[in-house]
Amino acid sequence: MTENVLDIQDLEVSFKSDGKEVKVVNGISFSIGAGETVGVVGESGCGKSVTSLSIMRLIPSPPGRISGGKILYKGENLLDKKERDMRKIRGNDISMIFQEPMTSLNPVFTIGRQIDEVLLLHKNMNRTQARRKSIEMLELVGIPRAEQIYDSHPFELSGGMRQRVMIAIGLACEPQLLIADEPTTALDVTIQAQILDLMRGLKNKTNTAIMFITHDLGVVAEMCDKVVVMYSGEIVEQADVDTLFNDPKHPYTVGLLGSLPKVEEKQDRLFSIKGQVPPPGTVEKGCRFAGRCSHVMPRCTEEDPPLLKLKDGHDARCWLYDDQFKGKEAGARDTAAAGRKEP
Amino acid sequence: MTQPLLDVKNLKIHFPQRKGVIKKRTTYVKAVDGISFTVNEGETLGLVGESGCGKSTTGRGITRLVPVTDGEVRYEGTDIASLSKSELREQRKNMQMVFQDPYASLNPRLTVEDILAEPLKAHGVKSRKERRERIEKMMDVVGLNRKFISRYAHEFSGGQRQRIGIARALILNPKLIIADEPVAALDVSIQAQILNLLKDLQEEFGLAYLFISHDLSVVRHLCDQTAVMYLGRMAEVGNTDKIFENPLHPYTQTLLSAIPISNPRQQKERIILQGDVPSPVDPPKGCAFVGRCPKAHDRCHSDRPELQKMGEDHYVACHLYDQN
Repeated sequence: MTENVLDIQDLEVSFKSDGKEVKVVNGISFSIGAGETVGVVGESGCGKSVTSLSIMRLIPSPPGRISGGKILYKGENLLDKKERDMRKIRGNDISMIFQEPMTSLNPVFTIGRQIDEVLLLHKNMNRTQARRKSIEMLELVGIPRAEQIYDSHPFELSGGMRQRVMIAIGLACEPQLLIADEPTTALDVTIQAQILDLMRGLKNKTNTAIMFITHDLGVVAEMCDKVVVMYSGEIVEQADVDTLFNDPKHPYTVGLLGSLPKVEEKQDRLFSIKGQVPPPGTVEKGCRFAGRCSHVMPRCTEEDPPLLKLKDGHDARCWLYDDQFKGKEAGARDTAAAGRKEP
Repeated sequence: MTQPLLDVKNLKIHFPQRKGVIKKRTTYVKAVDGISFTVNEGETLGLVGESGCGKSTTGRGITRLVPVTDGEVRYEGTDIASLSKSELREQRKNMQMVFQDPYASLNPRLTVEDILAEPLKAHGVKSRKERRERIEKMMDVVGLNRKFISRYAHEFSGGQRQRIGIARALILNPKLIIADEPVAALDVSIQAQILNLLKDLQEEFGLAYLFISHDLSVVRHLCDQTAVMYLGRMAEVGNTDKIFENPLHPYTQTLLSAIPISNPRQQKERIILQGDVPSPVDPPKGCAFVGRCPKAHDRCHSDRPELQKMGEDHYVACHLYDQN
């Protein structure tokens, strides 16, 4: 078996608020293989961005704290590393693209200087070599007139161009793992299509593993091999992309897919999940989705469901799929899976 | 034929920009450059386009939150642009706006009651008791718990805040709601709740919506008519089903092909555009889309295309469909 690039095991992250420690990521585990793209989806506050920041060890501390688990990068636990060693990894082995291309570039430095920075730091290049490599990177991400853009400042570029520059910085050191946190959310659809096209092309060329964090299920369907669905700090379902979209099991995933308006067909009414995400730390026992779930059973509010293995590579955190309940709850389960088609 | 509720003809909104050392040279940002459309009673028109295409400015121009440079905006026959201040105030009862950012569009120092009472006070509902009654009723309508009446806006989640925003717009019983990206800042599951609410309210009160959005799937879901804007101009207007099933303008085709489909088994050929939207200060002379259009020919560089009828309820501004 090939070794995974990233292996997250039982990761827990807590934040202190009002003197109380609240777990915002509660024991999640997943892995990313070489050249694989894994989508992490969920709504605001589900812990997807906190997870990505934990991998980079960028959780502001205090108030945040990684309170348990392991993050294995090529077999080594990143949580045991010294800050000095982490700095060698960031931007070199693992790099990150952020959501806001407007705010994540430094406005007072030229584009060139910001790409050079990573190369000078990690690759022992001199200025001339760095410049050559930077311009090459700009060309790679499809920026016209790369030599001129090298000397421009971020404000002179459009949003799509800035996001390309971010990708160029992210890929400059040829990382093994790229974490893309909502890289296209702030962009228009036609520009989004350009950027996704670019990322797909680069992935095929460089075989980089990508962790793709997004709330847009359409983007996931298009880009990812595997999908992890998060809800309130936990993984509620994970599967390969085809299974997740065509045979979703967890009522939350089913609801999420059903609540998307579709451009291909006209629907009369959208399926909507009632209520809203509970604030972290408010659900004391039982399933965190129980309050909004249309298939809730007495057991759901009593016992926290484990992540159940449904078949190879498909897990769901839901009592509906517990073996002991099989005969009894089969009816409820069928309706859950059919929920997408309900009006 | 019945008169449309809102009739916009050749609307132009230009913003002057003074340049040069002594600020003498004036250039104009042509945010909206001659667009026409109508909204009928009880109907929804979706105004779509990318950032900077002028869709929000159009919405603001109609309510005269920004000055109109040229053209007509008729609401039930009266020209909004020619109204005096007091007449305009009266007229605004009939058309209300819902804004994109539910965090920024509600005053954090006011309670729900204060927020919803403001439009009532401004339009002369003097009795406190009556105001309270109407506010409570409106809270029921938009699905807010009456108990929350004295809470502050910051105590609510995004979806609930948007409900407050909708309640504020509805409380004067308008006929037309101009909704500027009302669901863009919301999570998918909350977005579905708000879209369903908007649909229910439309049925209940016979509202007309001018629904401004960049999200085509939302427009498809909600709107009867769709107008696609590009760089301050109309690219294609017509019946929503017709536009989505048979897009004629190359820009509409690109826009539709760019939407990621939430099914890995239905992936399609994508048209990837080159370049970005040009600046509205100095738009191309001919068709606004010419620089990025895969099908551009000579005429597109020199002549500006006008909307032409391509069938029942379907208009397009593109030289590809010229008869001669």
